[in-house]
Amino acid sequence: MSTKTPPETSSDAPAIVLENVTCRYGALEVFKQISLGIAPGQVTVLIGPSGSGKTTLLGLMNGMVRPQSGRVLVRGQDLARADLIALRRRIGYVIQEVGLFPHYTVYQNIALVPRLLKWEEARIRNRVEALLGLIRIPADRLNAYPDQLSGGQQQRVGVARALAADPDILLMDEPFGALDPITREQLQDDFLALQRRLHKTVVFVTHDMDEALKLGDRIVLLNQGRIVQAGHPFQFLLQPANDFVRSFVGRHRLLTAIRLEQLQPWLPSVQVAEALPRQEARARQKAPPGWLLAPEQPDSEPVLWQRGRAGLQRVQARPTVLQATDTLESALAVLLSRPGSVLLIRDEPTDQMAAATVADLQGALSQALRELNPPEAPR
Amino acid sequence: MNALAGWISENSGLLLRLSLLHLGLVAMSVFLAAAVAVPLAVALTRPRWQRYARNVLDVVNVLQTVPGLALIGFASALWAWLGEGIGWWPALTALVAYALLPLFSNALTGIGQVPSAVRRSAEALGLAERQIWWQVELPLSWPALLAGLRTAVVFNVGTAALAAAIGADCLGTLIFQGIATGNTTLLLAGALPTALMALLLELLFALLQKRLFPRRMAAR
Ligand SMILES: Nc1ncnc2c1ncn2[C@@H]1O[C@H](COP(=O)(O)OP(=O)(O)OP(=O)(O)O)[C@@H](O)[C@H]1O
Ligand SMILES: [Mg+2]
Repeated sequence: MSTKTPPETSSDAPAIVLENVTCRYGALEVFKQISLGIAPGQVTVLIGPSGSGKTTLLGLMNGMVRPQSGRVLVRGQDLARADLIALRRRIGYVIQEVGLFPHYTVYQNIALVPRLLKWEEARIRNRVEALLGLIRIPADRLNAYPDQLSGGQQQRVGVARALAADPDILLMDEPFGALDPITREQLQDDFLALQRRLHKTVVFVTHDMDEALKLGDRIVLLNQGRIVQAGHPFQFLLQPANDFVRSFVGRHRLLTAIRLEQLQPWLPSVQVAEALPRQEARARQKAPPGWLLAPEQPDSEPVLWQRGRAGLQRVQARPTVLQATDTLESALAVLLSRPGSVLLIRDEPTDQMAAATVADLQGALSQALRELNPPEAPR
Repeated sequence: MNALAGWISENSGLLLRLSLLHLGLVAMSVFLAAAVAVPLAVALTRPRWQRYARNVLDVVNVLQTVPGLALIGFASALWAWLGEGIGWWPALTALVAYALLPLFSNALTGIGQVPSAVRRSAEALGLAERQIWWQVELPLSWPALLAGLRTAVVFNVGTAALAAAIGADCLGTLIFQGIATGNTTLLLAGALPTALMALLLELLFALLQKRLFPRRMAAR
């Protein structure tokens, strides 16, 4: 997703702001003077050990938890003076324990917020049915009660319920927690695909670093009521702020966690053409250097060409094409198995192509790291 | 038996009147008790008041421990102090006090059993306090409330008969007269309908519970 929301746009006014928030439960001080901004249209992942205050932080963002001091602003509005009921109906919330209404059917559960907002029944029905497809629950389960669903299905209905009224802000507290690894991965992929289209402001809580690295545009690591490090997933992998971060991230995540789409902005793009340019154009020195994918003869298979000072050079026929959602690990596996080869990376939604060699990937990684904001000082 | 049948056919008007008065005493007292007990239970399950629930339950428990007849005596004394210690109002007061416990403790348990996750998700999605009560807490504690109602009603059919002791007209009137005059026919003419009423109401509630909460609630 970082490819679609380059670092510059994160200077937009934050969707949610916490200013010097102190929060206590009786004698227990969960947060002391913390400040945090949540960028709009991005996925911010809150991660940290159990009891570090992730759920509390989420609760602060919709007024379920009131700070002892400091301010919380949502869409610029101070929660101390906001109509919290109306606000919550415009924020999707998936609570950690799911909390479906046991006496409501799947349909009624998902329809809850639209009904509160007095949508017409026909519109609600359309919406619920659309969401059901999204969360991969068969339509014949619409009239089932939550206790007739599996734990994973319940969790997915909980997500659909939060999405029902199409809120622009989504707070999700370990929404995929109770799922087996395969379903979990599938839902993560669905979530990413969806987010790539919808660009919601998502605050996503997890205690699983792999999930955080996979889903987060930005990760906020909490420990003992403090923000230990906040930044792009790359920074967590490549520039951990201290030993706690290092141990939390683990050593071997680099290759599997980085997705090609995150590197794509820094990789040379490939021009795709139906046919090669005519001879005279080919020879023109002024043509900008770069990659071209075009068939040698009309209707023959595509070939990768490199444009340089000497004109077009034929590089490789039928180069391997990976999806932008694939990992750095899979890219390296291909490149290392055929030394000297060039890999093409295709971004499905935009149909953009990029080319990469081992050196390109290395360069993109270090350039990305330089351009991303420097790691935020621990507070 | 023949004597009883004869008495009943001769006095069917009186018997019907006393039965209705009896039923009225029960219905009225349970209704009033519910009107006190349920809102009280709601208040005492809010976070702000929660810590007093135990104390209130103890007080109500004590009320229940007092024998029915003694409670009726106290109610009569209280009303005598206010003016008139005999009749319908003192009886009603005692019966209301007697019905409080099953209603209150069941309401407390029922509302307390609503999973906190359900309440929290309702709050998180933007239900107002009163919507949470009507859409979540009430429907989920219905089975417990109904069970409390059942206990209170059946209890009070029996206790109401004692109210005749302080001059409230009901089926108990026949029983007390029967005892006082050594007239077994009269005694049975009061006792049998009382027992029958209790049984029928019990049955009615059993059917109601079965109908209203066939599978879903039983499973929990
Ligand atoms: N309602 C409450 N009353 C009192 N203490 C609370 C309450 N909610 C949370 N706490 C305490 O505040 C701290 C932070 O809790 P929180 O639920 O935010 O942690 P978390 O990071 O979400 O943990 P987990 O990963 O286990 O869900 C914990 O020590 C917890 O015991
Ligand atoms: Mg939590």
